[in-house]
Amino acid sequence: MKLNSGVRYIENGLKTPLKAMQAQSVLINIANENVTGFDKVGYQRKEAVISSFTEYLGADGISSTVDDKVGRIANTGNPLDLALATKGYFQIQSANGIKLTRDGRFKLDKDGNLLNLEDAKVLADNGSPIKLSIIPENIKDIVVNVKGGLSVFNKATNKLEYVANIGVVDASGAVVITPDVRQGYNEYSNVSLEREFLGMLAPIRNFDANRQIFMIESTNLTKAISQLGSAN
Amino acid sequence: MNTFQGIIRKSINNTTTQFDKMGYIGNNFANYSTTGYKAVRFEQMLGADNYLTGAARTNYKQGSIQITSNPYDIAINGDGFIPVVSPTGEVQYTRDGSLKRGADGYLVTNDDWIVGEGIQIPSNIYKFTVKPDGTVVSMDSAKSPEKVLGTIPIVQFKNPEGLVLGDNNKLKVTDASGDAKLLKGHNYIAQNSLEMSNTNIYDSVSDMLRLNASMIAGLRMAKIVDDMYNKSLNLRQG
Repeated sequence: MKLNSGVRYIENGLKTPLKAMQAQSVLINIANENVTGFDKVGYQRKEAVISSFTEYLGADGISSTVDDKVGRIANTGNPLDLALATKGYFQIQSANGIKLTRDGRFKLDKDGNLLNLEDAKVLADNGSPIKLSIIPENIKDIVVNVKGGLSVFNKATNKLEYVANIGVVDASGAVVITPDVRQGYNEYSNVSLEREFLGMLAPIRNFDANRQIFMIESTNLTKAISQLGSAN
Repeated sequence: MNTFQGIIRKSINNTTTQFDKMGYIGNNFANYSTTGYKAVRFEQMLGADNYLTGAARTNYKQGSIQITSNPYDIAINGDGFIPVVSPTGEVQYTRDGSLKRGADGYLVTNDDWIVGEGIQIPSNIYKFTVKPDGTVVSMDSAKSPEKVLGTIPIVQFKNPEGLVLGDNNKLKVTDASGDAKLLKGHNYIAQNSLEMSNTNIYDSVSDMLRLNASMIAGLRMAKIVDDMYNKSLNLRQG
């Protein structure tokens, strides 16, 4: 900004704090998603990545990445609750293509299809949906071993019949050879609330500081305009 | 959505779904002593856009069997349901076996729904017995031979989770559950006993603590963001 008399006023003095405030609100948004995900099954913590030149880029300079540490694993007693004790994802055939998730809460429909809670089919490691050959009277008759091999107990023959291997892949879609699948467990998120709230202190303070800077610059500019502009 | 409104909206969405879950847990607690009640879990699913949806999931685990010494009390020790017929002719299914002798001597549920095809128990008998396979027999005196009165049927569904709640501790069949299939040659019925609910108090309390923490954290987030929102709206004031 160049005032009439030739005095230069650095316009970044106003823009920079505003951009910084926007960037802090993105950080708060990521923290908020983590807080929401705290008690949700299979949620993975998001970590903010602040790139170089964020002071110029503002909110666009911030992206997020997923923290893929294994979360808290809790017993549920339901044989169709599966938890992954290793890194990796289950594959779900949703309406918009294959989705990866660590949420292993599954159910059966009357035709024996293995579905997730949103009625999408669960895929085996060969890429086809898992369908049980016999529908057990009780879901207790379904056994999933640590490698993800799903079998169902056939009452007529008194034998365990192998159905399929539940597909576990990593983030790039490559099959995990030795997954650690736990039957009867749910994996809660890997978010720790205290860490989220402590981590939020810095963005909040930063937001406040930039607000102060903006107000100081704004007052200075007002002064410059009113004093330089007056005839006396 | 990175706006402050967006963040507040998400916090509120989280808090209200936690309240929904609280309702389901409260319902399980309230039915802790309801005969044959199956606990319902409210499962929350976090979408890719960080919005929550929920689904109710019924846990059909066997409840514990309690001996009551009342011959009209029937418990199912296994999978399946007793079909019962309402006075208007509607069929629903229940695991609540606290039966009684209703009008004309028919075996009926607490709220007068007839069990199976109707089993009439005469009034002047010495005693009646329900066999483990559901056959109801009576004896006119201590030494007289047993007379078959009828059978308490047990039906199974391919997908019991597809059943929906009907009237008064009963379930209704849906497309998702599949049709009822009569179970033969079982030994699931226990007379003189009742099946207790399968509500797990410890699980429920632990669920409640977790949702409470999440709810408080969500509201705290809303407060923090509201402060920041307020400050950015009042940029001109000191």
